[in-house]
Amino acid sequence: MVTQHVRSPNRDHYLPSACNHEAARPRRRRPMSRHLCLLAASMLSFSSLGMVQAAPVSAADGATDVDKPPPLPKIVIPDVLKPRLTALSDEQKAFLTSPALYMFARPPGGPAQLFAKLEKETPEEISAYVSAMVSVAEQVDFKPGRDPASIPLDTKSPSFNAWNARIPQQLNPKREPGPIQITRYIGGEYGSFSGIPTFAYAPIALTPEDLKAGKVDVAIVGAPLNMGSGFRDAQHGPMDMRTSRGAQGPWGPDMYTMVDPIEELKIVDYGDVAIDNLSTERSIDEVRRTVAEIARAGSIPVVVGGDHSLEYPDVAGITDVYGKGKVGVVHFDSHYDAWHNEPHLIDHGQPVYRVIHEGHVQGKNYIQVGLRSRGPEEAGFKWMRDNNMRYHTMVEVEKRGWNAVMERALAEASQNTDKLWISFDIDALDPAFTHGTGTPVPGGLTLREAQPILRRLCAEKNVVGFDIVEYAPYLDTSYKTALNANFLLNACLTGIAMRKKGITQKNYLSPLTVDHQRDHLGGTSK
Amino acid sequence: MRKMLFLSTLAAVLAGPLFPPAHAQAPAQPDALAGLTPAERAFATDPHKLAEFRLTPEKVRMVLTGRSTVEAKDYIDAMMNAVAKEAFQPGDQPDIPLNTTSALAFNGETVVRPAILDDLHRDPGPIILDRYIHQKTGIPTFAHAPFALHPEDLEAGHVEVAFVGVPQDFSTGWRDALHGPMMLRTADYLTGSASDPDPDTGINPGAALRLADYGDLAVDYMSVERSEAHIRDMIAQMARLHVVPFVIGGDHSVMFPDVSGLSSVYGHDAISIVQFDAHGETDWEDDGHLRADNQSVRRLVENGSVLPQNIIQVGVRDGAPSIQPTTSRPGSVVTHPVTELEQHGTMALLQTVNDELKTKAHNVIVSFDLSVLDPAYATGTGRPLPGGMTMREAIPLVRGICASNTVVGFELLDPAPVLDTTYQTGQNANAIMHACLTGIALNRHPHT
Repeated sequence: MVTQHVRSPNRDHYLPSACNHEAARPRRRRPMSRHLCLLAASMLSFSSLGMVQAAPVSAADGATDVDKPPPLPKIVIPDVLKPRLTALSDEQKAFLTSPALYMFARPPGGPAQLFAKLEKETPEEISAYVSAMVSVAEQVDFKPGRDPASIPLDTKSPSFNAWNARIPQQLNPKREPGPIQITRYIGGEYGSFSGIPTFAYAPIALTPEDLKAGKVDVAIVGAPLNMGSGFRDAQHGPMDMRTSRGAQGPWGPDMYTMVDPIEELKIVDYGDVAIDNLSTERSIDEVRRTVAEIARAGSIPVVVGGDHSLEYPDVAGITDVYGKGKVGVVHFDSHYDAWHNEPHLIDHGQPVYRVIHEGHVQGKNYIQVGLRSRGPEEAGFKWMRDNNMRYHTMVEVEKRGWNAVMERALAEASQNTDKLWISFDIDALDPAFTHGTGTPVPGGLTLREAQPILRRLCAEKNVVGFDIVEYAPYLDTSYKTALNANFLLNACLTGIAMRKKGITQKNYLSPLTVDHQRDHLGGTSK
Repeated sequence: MRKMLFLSTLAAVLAGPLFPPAHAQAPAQPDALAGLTPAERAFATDPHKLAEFRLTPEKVRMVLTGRSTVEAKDYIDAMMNAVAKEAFQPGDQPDIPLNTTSALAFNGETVVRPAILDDLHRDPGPIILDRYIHQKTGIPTFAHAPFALHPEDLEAGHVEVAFVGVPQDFSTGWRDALHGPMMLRTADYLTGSASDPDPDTGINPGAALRLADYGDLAVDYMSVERSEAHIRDMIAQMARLHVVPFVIGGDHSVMFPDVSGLSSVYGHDAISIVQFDAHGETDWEDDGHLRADNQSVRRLVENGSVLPQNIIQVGVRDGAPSIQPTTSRPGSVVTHPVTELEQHGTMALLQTVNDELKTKAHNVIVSFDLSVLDPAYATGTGRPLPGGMTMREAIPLVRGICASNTVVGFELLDPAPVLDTTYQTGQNANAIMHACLTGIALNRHPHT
């Protein structure tokens, strides 16, 4: 008989990592069905039996046991079935006890139910059934020679690199380096309410020399990557953030702190990073180079996406400058984004895995806030725990309340590192605030919860970079998502301005605006 | 964009000798290009190369006038270097790597479960998912057609036309084609209940034809290339069963595997294509990619899936030359721009296309990209272009072509529902499919 495990009440406890879910995982390209998943996971064990030739995983890949699914329980063919297996080849018989069988022997029945079904069939029918299973199993795994190991490109194309070819600056008039003023009127640097749309009404910088000459504090750069966003349109994110500004502008100080980031900071619009919207892999190198270029010029890069694949080149780019392991990350998202063991090496569901896997950031310095998507199973949470990651789900918010969770995350941020990157997926917020996004999940943060943590992180910690991703304008026919995304960005810019002014004390709020101080509540009773 | 510039530059150059600009007759100035090497000079006077920088030889001459030789050389060399770097450089990644070592189920999403492994067994044949004779809503299938899961179902039902969704979403323009099949299953006006004849012809294609909804094909949302083999194989399998696949995209990159699948069954020289499209899909500015919506026709011709002389394009208006002269294949694509429709009218164009088809390969694939319609009729598409066809032009054209020829495949490409907040694109797309179905019904069952 098969092992008792299969019939245990907790029927799924033997399921490997990617299979222990009932519903679609919204971040994936499409949900892998449970049984496919079982087969997939079992293939690793299957390979170890010598039945399938799998390419060895080299140590250089850094793959650890943590990344592998747990082994599946051994399968035993019931004695009553054995005489009916006469038509099977040795290979087919071996298949019946291999872990690959689990794909076809789904819970709750498991192998026992499958064997019971086969017992009623003739040896010939059993043979046809088993050979169908073997054939399917054989098609699923990567097979060198049969399956392309990479996506080919046309290296003979004269426009191979056209997508990120830069315009030579010789074509421009000679000019002194520095941010290029684009406003016409006397209202000052930020005096124009329309005209050429730039992030935060800021002047434009084209080169690192412009950043250095202008002693730029913050360079905002668009990255319209639109490959893996569930519902799509992230490619229009930067454009729409520029044209529907709402938050940053010449409208005076932030009321919570009475600090005006536009006055305090030298901000520029650094244009958009070139993106190849037919390949995330090709695009990320350009993003990584650009983030590093901005940081080396002494400015804080703010990346406006684009989908969340960007978190990987963003963080890799910043650690290229400050060193591996020297930067921590706070990842705001409804998704954990640490999927792995997928055919593609990067998409918007995998950046966290790739950052940690390649050692750019240590797991203990990775703080996640707002997680609530259906998706990561026990194995996913185990992976995060094994990597010492600090995750804060909406489950924790439900139990402890937002303020407690916020204080805990703030205390963890920069516990071990001097520098911090903030990666903000706008789907961390409830779709009521940001429904223009590719993979919305209900039950999220409110704007009034997100603003203070962003402002405080950017004021109280040494934030060396920020990204705001997954804004997809066409999914919101109103101005709402753009307005809120810009106010989130503004909360961080305000924090950076506070820090520049020396306001870094915990939970600073302006005494002028927090209370009128004209009764006993404010400390006086005039 | 780049192509438009190229064309305008070309036009300027062609017009040049006939209408010399006024200042060309001005007193001779020192030659601004005097100090350049022959190569630099050639670049500075080549309108094709300069077009990329939105320059013309005339503009360059104007810019360089008064500059020193060193400055002039620097200006031209900067552009020449930039162009040279656009080609593949040693050290560039020549491909996009995949996770071949630790991917779980590398091919998992496109491996098909054979019928023998179904939990429950049934006789093969399409399954009617409607409960009522005059069902209006319920489980949405294309045209309320019964559902076919396995090839055995198509075969047992002697299915003539099977709808199949391919939700690939890589438009080089705006995106949302992944929701295309879902939208068109739920939108009206494909063919409804049994008593729903076509108003113009009186024929009811839903009753006359043996239809099935074959579900959607799995695609890799991160790679057109990785989706290709599966789509091609599934389409070829349908064709081998004498089914006419009605492919509902998906963006225009679906055309490549669809046509190559049909080509593999009928023969590369035995298929013709009538392509309704605002775009030629023959782009040469490919950024090194071997597959994309805007190069589908070019790649089909290049790999020999179809002969260019068997392609007729209708409604093209993006300025793209149909097949550029660099292609090694003989013959050329026939193009009927919207202006022709404007001048001669719908019926004359229909007659022309049908006459042309008599001289081309017998098996006809009708490819309909929604961009061929004016955005007034199809807002929800990834690459809209103003100045397109009206529905009153498109319906008789599509119906007339499908009625007069042996249609072996139809594709409805680039629906993008989120780009249209109304029902309009869905309804018009279904009306186009209805028109072709009516034509096929007239062709196959004229006495129905």
